[in-house]
Amino acid sequence: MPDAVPLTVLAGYLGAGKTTRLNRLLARPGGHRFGVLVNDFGQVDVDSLLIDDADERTIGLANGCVCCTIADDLGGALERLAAIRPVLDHVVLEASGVADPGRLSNWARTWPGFHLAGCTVIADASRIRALSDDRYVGLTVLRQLAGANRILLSMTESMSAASIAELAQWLGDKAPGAQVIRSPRDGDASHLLGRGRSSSGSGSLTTGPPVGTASHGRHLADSADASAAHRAVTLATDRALDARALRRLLTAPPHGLVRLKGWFQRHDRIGRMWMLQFAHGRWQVTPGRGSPQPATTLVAISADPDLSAEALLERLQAVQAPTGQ
Amino acid sequence: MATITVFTARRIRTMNPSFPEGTAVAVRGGQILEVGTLESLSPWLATGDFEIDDRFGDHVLMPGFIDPHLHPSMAAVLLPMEFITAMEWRLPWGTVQPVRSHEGFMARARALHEAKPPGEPLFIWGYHHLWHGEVKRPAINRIDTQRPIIVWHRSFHEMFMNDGALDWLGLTPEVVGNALQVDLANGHFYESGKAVATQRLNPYLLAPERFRDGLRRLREVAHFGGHTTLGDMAAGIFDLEMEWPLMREILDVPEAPFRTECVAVGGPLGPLLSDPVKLRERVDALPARNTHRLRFGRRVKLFCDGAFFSQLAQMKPPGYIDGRHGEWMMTPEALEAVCTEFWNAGYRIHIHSTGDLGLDLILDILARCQWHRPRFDHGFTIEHFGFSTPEQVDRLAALGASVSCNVYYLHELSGMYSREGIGNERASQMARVGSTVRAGIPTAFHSDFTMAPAVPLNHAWVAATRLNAEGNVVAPAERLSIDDALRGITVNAARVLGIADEVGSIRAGKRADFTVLDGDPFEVGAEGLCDLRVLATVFEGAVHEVGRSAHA
Repeated sequence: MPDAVPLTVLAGYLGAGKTTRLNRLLARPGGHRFGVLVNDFGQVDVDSLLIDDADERTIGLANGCVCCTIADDLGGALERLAAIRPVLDHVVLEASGVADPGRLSNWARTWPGFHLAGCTVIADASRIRALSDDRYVGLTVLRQLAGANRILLSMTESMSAASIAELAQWLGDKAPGAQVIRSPRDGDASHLLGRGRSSSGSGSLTTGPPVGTASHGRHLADSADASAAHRAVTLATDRALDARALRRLLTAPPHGLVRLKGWFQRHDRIGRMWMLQFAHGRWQVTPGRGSPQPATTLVAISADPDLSAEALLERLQAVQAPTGQ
Repeated sequence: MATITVFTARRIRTMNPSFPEGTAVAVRGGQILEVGTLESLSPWLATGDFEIDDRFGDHVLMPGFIDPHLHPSMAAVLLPMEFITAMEWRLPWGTVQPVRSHEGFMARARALHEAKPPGEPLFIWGYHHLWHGEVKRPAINRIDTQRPIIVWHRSFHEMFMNDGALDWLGLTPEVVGNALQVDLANGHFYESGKAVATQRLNPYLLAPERFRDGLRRLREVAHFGGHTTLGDMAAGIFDLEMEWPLMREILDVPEAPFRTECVAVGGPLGPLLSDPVKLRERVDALPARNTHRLRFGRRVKLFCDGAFFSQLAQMKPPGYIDGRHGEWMMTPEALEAVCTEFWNAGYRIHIHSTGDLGLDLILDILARCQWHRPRFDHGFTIEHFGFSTPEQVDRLAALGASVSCNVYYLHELSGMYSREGIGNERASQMARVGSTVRAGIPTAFHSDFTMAPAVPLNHAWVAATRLNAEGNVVAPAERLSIDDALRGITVNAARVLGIADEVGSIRAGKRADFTVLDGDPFEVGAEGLCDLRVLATVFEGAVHEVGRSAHA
């Protein structure tokens, strides 16, 4: 039985920018194979050169990503994605503008083959407060914010620093558990998945590229779900990896390391990107395409409760080439 | 020239206020020539051959009943199941007596198991925890562990399985042991868990032969209730291309003594949501496939808020007692964009509305449509009409809307919703059709079968008595006169579907569709309406007696 695929619910009211970012994710997946579930193919805007095959319900891209339309049968769409081999790296479920992300998260926590990676809500910074007051959708919007573990603010370009800070404060009150991040229009779309960014307390804002920080994967099912003792750690850095150190890690991995996947640059071949897939003791490195930012991103999943996230991250950081190379 | 047939009856109630009664009606080629008495009909009878059909001489004729909102495809899935319900369900193959206790439920379920051939899965529908107590995997296992037994909640949104069912469907601990909305120990599948289970059930539930059997049962149910016209208010709800050939095979044949007016869903289903023009073009193309009995028209169905039975209606303040929230089916912007597109194309729009906040949104949208492009006689219809305020009734009248109400809601749910969810004041006033009739709004009734029994006389009875399942009269000021109650299942139902010129009353020129009753609804009093029996229908001049069910 293959590993459960992490699924992120992507919610947010109409016009917040969900589709723009999803399109960007599909166009530049940085070596990952993403599955995306949308309500409407009409919104998918991917260079037709990238399309491998398509029928009325599924579009397969040359970069390995897959886009499926929900077409009022979410279960069917999830089944189709769960059946894809090799297994997808991550799935994003685009919620409709008025969907309750909490209810959709339950699908991720119920459907065989998936686990909930998190719930990201995209909010249009210039409209969100007025929307939350709307007599028809105000309560719906507030519920979306409260259900998020990560809120991405779009349209912040024209706002002053002071008004953004005030907004972050307001969000801290409406969504106390959520991490709030600015999401510039042309930025890296993978932050909507909830990986590789530093965590911060409520009411404050982070932005900018990550610099090799530990990020604990938020497995919301943890407390209720006895079998999910996995933790995820991400190494995201501009540094290349020492090829020999990496090989040693892969042949003698720490106990409990279940998966290690991502891309990296080798210290002795800067400029070239490689993809790494390690699962259950077997590994494979293949040449990748493009030059993603940052140069190295590896996601490790451990199933050993005794292997702390910090310890795992340290093991990964030890594989980095010394600076200056 | 075809022969004229004259049907005689003890009384004919025409539902034409200008000519309300008769004792004979002349029919030729499926069309009504005239209604009156044998004597007054004589100029027609002098024209040629005629015959008198007096088999209904002791009975009462009404216009053929019309239910403008039900779901044949859903019925096809549900009707082959066994019913154990807290309400009475009169079906052609037998009346399901109400069961309102745990012991009663278990005894009936055991009897159904024992009567069924071994190995066949047993589907039971109608369970409700408030009436039937706890019926989960251990209890169902006590009936049998081998045979797959699946108990569906009345709302159709959750189910409970025994060991046999879990094995049959491969729902093992490996597959669903950690699923959030599956309680495997209790065989309980709800919300997304229910979708997991139906994913595996669909090959069985939607198998063509079973679907055919279901449609044949639906055909009997329609006739048994006295219908000569049905409205399929979500045609192609599963998959139009799969369903259409089966609908033609079962509902477009001489054995089907009724027509089905099909109304397609205009959104949010399907991949064309972002483009209202494409959605509308898709619906424009449907009438090209019309047959004699299956007819699309310039009508479309949209959804505003969630299901009434699940308490997902969008409510204005004070909202729900426990603070729960309703559900929008589309963003208001998307709903308005789709509505506007169909409005500007001249469509009759039917929009599902269960809560009063959703109704406010619909009224705002309708007002803007009227502002930009005024229409008269536009046929915009509120479907279900669960909760509303008196002020909204005024707005509906001002904007020219019609109402098609699931008045049965108040019978089954007003007591329950008084106690939980909504509270007594608003729950009593659900389905406020007295107000709409007083305001001059065309008001029809429907069953949304299988949400309520497909028995039009039942709807009329509820509308005229406002009696709920607990035996209480709720909001008596909203009771209808018998005449208005019967208009809701005849002329007004035809009007809501846009076919009032053809059917809905007995008058010269309309189709010869009649329902034959064993008593006169204007003589039995409001409380007696539900005891009247349909003996036969006449569909386009051909008699179809209600006989023994093929499924009994």
